[in-house]
Amino acid sequence: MLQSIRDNSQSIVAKVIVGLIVVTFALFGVESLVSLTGGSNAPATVNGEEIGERELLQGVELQRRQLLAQMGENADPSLLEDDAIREGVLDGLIEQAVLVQSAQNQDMRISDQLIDQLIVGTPDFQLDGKFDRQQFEALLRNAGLTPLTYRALLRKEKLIEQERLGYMMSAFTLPGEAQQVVELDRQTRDLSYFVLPAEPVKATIEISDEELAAEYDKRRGSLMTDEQVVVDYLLLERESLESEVSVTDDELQTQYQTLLENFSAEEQRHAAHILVEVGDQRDDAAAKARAEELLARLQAGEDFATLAQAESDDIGSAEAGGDLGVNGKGVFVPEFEEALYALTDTGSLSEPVRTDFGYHIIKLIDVKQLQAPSFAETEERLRAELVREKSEAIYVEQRERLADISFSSADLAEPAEVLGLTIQQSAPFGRNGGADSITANPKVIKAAFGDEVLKDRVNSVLIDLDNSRAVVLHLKEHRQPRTRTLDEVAEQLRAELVESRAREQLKAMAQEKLAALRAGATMAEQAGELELVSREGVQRATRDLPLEVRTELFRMAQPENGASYASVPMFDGSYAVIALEQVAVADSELSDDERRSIQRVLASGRGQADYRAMLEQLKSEAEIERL
Amino acid sequence: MADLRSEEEQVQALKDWWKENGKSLLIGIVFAVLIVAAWKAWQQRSQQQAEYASALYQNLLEAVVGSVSDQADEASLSTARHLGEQLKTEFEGSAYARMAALLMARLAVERNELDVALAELDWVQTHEPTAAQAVVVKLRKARILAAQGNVEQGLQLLDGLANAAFQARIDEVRGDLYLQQGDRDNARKAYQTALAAGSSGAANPLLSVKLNDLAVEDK
Repeated sequence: MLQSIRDNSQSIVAKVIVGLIVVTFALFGVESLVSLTGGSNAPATVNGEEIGERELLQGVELQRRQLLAQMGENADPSLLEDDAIREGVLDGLIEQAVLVQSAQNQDMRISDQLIDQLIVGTPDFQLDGKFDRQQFEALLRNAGLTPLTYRALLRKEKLIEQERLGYMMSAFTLPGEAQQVVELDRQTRDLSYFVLPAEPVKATIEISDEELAAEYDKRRGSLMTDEQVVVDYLLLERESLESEVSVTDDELQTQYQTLLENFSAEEQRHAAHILVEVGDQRDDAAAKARAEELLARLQAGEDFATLAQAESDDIGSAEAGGDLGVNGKGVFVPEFEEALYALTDTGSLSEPVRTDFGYHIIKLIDVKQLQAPSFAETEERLRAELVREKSEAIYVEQRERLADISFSSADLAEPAEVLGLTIQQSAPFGRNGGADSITANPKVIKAAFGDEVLKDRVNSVLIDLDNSRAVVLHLKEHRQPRTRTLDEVAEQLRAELVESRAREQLKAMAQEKLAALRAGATMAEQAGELELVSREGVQRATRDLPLEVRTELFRMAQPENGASYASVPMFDGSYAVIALEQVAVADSELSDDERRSIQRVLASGRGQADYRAMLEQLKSEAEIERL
Repeated sequence: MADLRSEEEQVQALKDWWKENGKSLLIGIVFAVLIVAAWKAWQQRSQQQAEYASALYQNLLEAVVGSVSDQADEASLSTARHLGEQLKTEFEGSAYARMAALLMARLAVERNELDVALAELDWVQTHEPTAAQAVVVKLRKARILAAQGNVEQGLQLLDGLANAAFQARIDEVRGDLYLQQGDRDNARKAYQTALAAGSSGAANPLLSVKLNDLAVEDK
């Protein structure tokens, strides 16, 4: 057989095949064969390019962190479900891939130098204004990136940005277009209107019991109650454990001694100063002379506070007569502090002292010795601290026990007995939560409607409401959704029926009025006893008209001769009848600056729209497969 | 193996083979190496070229931003024009040159040199624009033509322009042009189509304002 292989391998065909295999391996390596066999399980492919699972996970993680940061403590876990975030992140990645491919297909490129510049220029990566490699790497690590992946990411972003700005920055607004927009924006309209009120109409409408029953039958399907649960629960609170804790006098004494040991008697000094600044206006010698002159005046009996107010260069303290308040050591610069603490008598003055700021004359106002607090003073506080500490220890231990026992018990009776807690019952609540702090807690809602509690009917796991309260739930009652009875909803249905009939009647009334107006009747005639409001020069931004009237006003046809008319339902069920009497353009002259800034705003809107359309175009052309 | 030969015989056979084929083999290898080297060099050159064009374009963007801002300065404007020209002449076939021409067109409009702007847009049209660019260029040209008074010519340019992603944009410009002609009915229809086509995208409040201004009384 070997012979036959040898013979056959001499044939041309065999040589060609072997040659092809050699070439394939030489050019593309082993991967080309492996990738043929290993099926792809990428979450999405864009024109054959895979979006990696890793990339997706990273994006999801990043998004979740951002959401958590935004929501703070009341984070709703259901919003953080992977699946919910995943879709959005995947959409973003697909868009990114489409855009990057578009740029690459056009041979757009970002050089390594540009990426370097970008990284070095990023303020986040800088320490003291200079790029810091360690800072850079540490930040990347936190975000789960390596320098290499970060560079690749930057390169993609920059590529996309180049094309985006190509559309955005090249969009323009022609002067006529700006003029058109300004004229529309500054247009004013004159109107008069009256409102057909709903109440009188409603008062005339009677709904019979048959009609009500028919309506009930019609809407039966949408009159369901929510699914609700009532749960029994055990609440463990640290605060209620405080009563079980006792604190002995010995313990209090020990605590007080520790406090005394940590207390260092410190002297504090109340000081004031006058500053003579050394700077551009005064050199050192001149400042010193000036300070000495001031000191002489003080010694001659001038009031320190008055002089400080008039002469001190320290604007902050000058107003308070140079007063710097009561301070301990370590607050002032060393030279100042030394001089201050060298003064012995209250009311004495220092010689001029040189610091970085200039020359100071310091006055010692008072010396205060800080006394250690007496036992009596701190007893209350110490007792509270001890009680808290002890109850916390008990809480932690009981929390553990509660978790253990309720896990191994069928219901809450045993844990309640062992821990001396009472079983409490919640008000019924649905998946949106109840009114009190326990049933409104997202973790509690999730557990109450979870399989453990609802289906298996066992105790829930222990749920920490915060760090000093925990609960365990057990199902008391599961209320399935049911159709509300006619009695329950009669009031509501009746009101709704009245409402909708009144609307129909009002609409018909408004139509009649409109027809009459178009046939030549005046607004005053049609309004009759109703209040007729007339306004001139109403602008789009005018706020003191009812919203519905203003919106409708700028949707109405421009009057050709006379006026144009329309009616519009109001929020409260009434109907407004409006006459548009005149359309005018208020002053539409623009200064050059105004025109330029309007043109720029409009251009950037157009650029945005062009870019979005381009993205749509790319997406529609791309072959996008999602797993 | 069937025919076992002595070692000398084998060596002799190799030598004979070498005499016969050695030269052509060497030539072949040299050729292959040369071709690969040339290919690599060419690739590197074109990559460098593209990166250089990219850097120029990046500077151009900055200059354009500078020249259309509130404190528009002449220096950025002339830098922008210089860079734009350089990209268009030295990298004629590149994407960067096309985008440069688009930006030049905008700068020309800002200076009210509408003919120059049209020429720049024509330049893009003749230099293999992408599908999206081709539509954008036509839309912009049509608006400039209309501003010059050639509304009819602008409308012709829009005729036969069909692109699903750009439909809302196209119809809005069409409406604007009809309105310039004083043809309110056609303008209204165009705006209505634009509004319907744009429903999938982001809201366009200006379009609604323009459409509402052309409302007719429903009697």
